Amino acid sequence: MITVKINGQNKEIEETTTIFDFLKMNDVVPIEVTLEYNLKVISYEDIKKIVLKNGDTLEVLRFVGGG
Amino acid sequence: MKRNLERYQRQILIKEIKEIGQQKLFNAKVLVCGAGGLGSPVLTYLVAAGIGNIGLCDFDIVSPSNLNRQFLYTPLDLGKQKAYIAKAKLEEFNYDVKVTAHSDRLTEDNVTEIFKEYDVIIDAVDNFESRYLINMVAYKNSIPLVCGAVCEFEGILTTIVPKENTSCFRCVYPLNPSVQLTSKMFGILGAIAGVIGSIQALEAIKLILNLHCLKNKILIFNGLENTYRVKHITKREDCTICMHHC
Repeated sequence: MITVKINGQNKEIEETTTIFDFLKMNDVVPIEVTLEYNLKVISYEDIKKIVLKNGDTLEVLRFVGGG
Repeated sequence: MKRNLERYQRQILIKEIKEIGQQKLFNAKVLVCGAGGLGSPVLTYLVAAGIGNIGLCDFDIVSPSNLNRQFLYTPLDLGKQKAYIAKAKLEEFNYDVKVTAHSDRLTEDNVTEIFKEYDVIIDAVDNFESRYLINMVAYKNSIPLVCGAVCEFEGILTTIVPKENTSCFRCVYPLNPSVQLTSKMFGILGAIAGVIGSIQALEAIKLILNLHCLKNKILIFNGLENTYRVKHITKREDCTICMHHC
């Protein structure tokens, strides 16, 4: 297991988990969020390529635009 | 205009406001873009606080699906233009406040002309296209902007101060949402809009009084989990709006 910081909170996840896997496990639809991986915004094309590592940070910010 | 301060007595008691702060509120000019779910609480609290000049922009008419959250309107207002209904109700609520209604859709052609009359802009619209436009023009014209948005049980809020070169709305959402997402209809709960709209009004008041605001930060409220999270916003090196502002 590795520890990554998701939205400010430490979470333990399996090694070899990609960002895509993580989102899927948490029922998050990729096109409905902005993803900031280690302070850098990433595109949807990258989420299957990036394997989360111990100590990584991931911010998952939902598109909220209603008023 | 001579105003009776008794109405504002309970806020004048606050040490950060006092009579001098109240005078600043009387002299302030605030524009609220969107007189809907967020706009209803924002406008009501700004009018109640005695902001002397309030503008409101909304091109829409009142429809039945607005009534779960847009408490400025009643079933008697269905089919009528929101901007004028809201203006009449707000002015009745507080005679000290001058309310100006802008009933045109905000576009690149009219937005600068409308914004230049105001000290603070509130983004309370319901779509990303308008949010990006408001952010761009407010930043370009160095007008402080309070952005708020809601979706289902969630709400977000950030305050942008171009003169202090803070991060902007484009830094929060650098990638436009997909067409699939923008065309999807999301639920909105009135109480969530009430929370975020109230904080937007508070941020505007604090901007006018030069008090601590949510600059370079985003407040993320989750009403389902009862959590408030404040996250630092990184000013993006490639931001086309705020990185090239002088």
